[in-house]
Amino acid sequence: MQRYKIVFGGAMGAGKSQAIASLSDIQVLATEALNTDEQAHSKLLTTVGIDYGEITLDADTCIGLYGTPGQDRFSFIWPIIGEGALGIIILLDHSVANPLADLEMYLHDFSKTSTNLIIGITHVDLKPERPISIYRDWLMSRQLLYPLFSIDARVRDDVLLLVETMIAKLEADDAH
Amino acid sequence: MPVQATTKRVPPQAFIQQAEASIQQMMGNVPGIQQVILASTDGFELCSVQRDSGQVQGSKLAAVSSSILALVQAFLGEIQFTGCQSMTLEAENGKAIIAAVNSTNHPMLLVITTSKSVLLGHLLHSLKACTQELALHDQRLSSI
Amino acid sequence: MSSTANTFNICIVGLSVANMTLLRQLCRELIPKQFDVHWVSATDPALDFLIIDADFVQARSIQNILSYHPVPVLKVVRYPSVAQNICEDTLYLPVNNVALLSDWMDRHLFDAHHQKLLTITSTGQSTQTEATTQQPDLHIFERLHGKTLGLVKLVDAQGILGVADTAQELFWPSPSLTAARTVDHTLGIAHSTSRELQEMSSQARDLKQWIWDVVWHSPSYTGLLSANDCVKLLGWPQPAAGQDRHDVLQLSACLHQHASSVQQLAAQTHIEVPRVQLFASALVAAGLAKTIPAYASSYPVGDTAQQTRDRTGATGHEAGKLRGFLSKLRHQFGL
Repeated sequence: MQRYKIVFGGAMGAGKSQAIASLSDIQVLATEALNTDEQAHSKLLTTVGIDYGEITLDADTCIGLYGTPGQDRFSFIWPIIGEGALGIIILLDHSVANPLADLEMYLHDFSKTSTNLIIGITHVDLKPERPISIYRDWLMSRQLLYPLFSIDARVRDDVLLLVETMIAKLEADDAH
Repeated sequence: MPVQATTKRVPPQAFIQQAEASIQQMMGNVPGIQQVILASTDGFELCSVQRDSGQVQGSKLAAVSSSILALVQAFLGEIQFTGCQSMTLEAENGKAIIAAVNSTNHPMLLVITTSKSVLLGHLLHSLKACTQELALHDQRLSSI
Repeated sequence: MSSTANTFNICIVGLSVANMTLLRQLCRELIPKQFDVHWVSATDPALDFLIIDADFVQARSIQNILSYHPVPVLKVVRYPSVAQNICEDTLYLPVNNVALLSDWMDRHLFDAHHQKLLTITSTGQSTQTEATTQQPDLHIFERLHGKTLGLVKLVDAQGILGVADTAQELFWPSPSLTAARTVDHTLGIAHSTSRELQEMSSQARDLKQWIWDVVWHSPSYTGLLSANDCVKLLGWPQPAAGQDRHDVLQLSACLHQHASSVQQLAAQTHIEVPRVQLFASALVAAGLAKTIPAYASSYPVGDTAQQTRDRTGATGHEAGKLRGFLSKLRHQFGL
């Protein structure tokens, strides 16, 4: 059987587990624990190991969907899980205090593991006064170019936009 | 393990002090223990007791251990084994044990590193007593 | 007559001599003294304000003038039929309450700093020149991306599209703006007021993304870039669902690899040239790409996709496996 891997990284509470659940054919295997850092995020549970979901294309082909824990104390896991991935989808929460710091950190770490990075910005509706252009300006000022879209991780079609972008990039890489 | 919605998520300082005392008692009873770290299941170090200086940084160990425990518990769930108590890792130059502290209010874990020569049976027996004591401390102090 | 920031060029059409004299007097009294007031014809390219008998405003000649030179219009009705002197943009004679007229002029002729509202054209002049060509102009978008204009409104022959905050790169669409709306050569920008902003939809959109959306769906922008123009991607556009999404992502992914000519992109993606021209125009209009000289692109202009593959050696069993997998993945999700 051919096995491929897509990894979901990014900030705590950005919607990684949700995004995997929206695509997975199986019930997602979650490794969650009680979140004691309410200052970082108020949610009750947080991923501390990996989330695992799966898409079966046919009898011979399967894709593993791997979600990583977001907090930087778990950064040791990121390169381990990211190794051999088709691409890494980084989700960032637009409503946190400093989303650009998150963008910088996750790009810095995940770019060591993969060149096929796609960025999704979630919770845009929770901070409408903050323009989306801040991410684009940040990337442009550093002459970086990554696909970056605002999405809702609960909406399957939005998550599919990120996956389809990954596919388009792989096809373009393959053609060259 | 269900968590009461009204419980504060971080154990109180009084618990931490009692926990340190229980851990030190265990270290006194079992020769060969080098370091014990008590951590929350989401990877924060709550307290650390070590025999000598120069041991591994507790905060990093807490995070790694919580990931390992969560992954192992997920694995055990897949093979329908219930109630993970502890796991023992043997290396050439020492042993490590990660044990769950089954407290209702504040789920935690203990990470113990030892010399190669530690008596495993004696250690596991003392560890069991220690984790039970910690769970009782937590239950008592959280209800105050 | 030329227009400057300190001159008001006003035309009064279709009124009796007595009413015209009265309104000239009122305009002079109500417009601050630092402004010179000149009386001009309706066809004067420097026209700033039109006062016109309500019966004449729909005349074809007047509508033609306003279509390429939108200015504030005050319609005049000679017979009182409402309690208030001014209702919406109509003045009912006789004038019993000058304060109402003053308030209307404040709102429509001056900004928050009591400076004259300027109509900004793509040439940057404060006078609107007659349109000599039906071609849309990308320069108007360059000015929007310059971030120095502050609050502006985008208007065209069909009316107001919305208000943009150029510093924040936000756009508030008009409540009447539909998803099917397109733009053309009549698109223009003018300073806006915070009052006008309040009348817009409360849901702000990213300005660059909105520009991309509207130009991508506006066929009149197809020919703005030629097949030989080279484009370098600066940021990815976010596509809507459906076939559009497939093409947009495919084109963006190719451009992400390297700058390309329109022709080269069309050859690599097997998408027809006019569609690629429109894609490239929309990217440039939105500030998500820029045109570059052909020598600065990574591929020699005219290289075919097959030549590209031969040059890079991208063949082999592994490549075939990946292509097969990607096809299956697309099929699985209906992408």
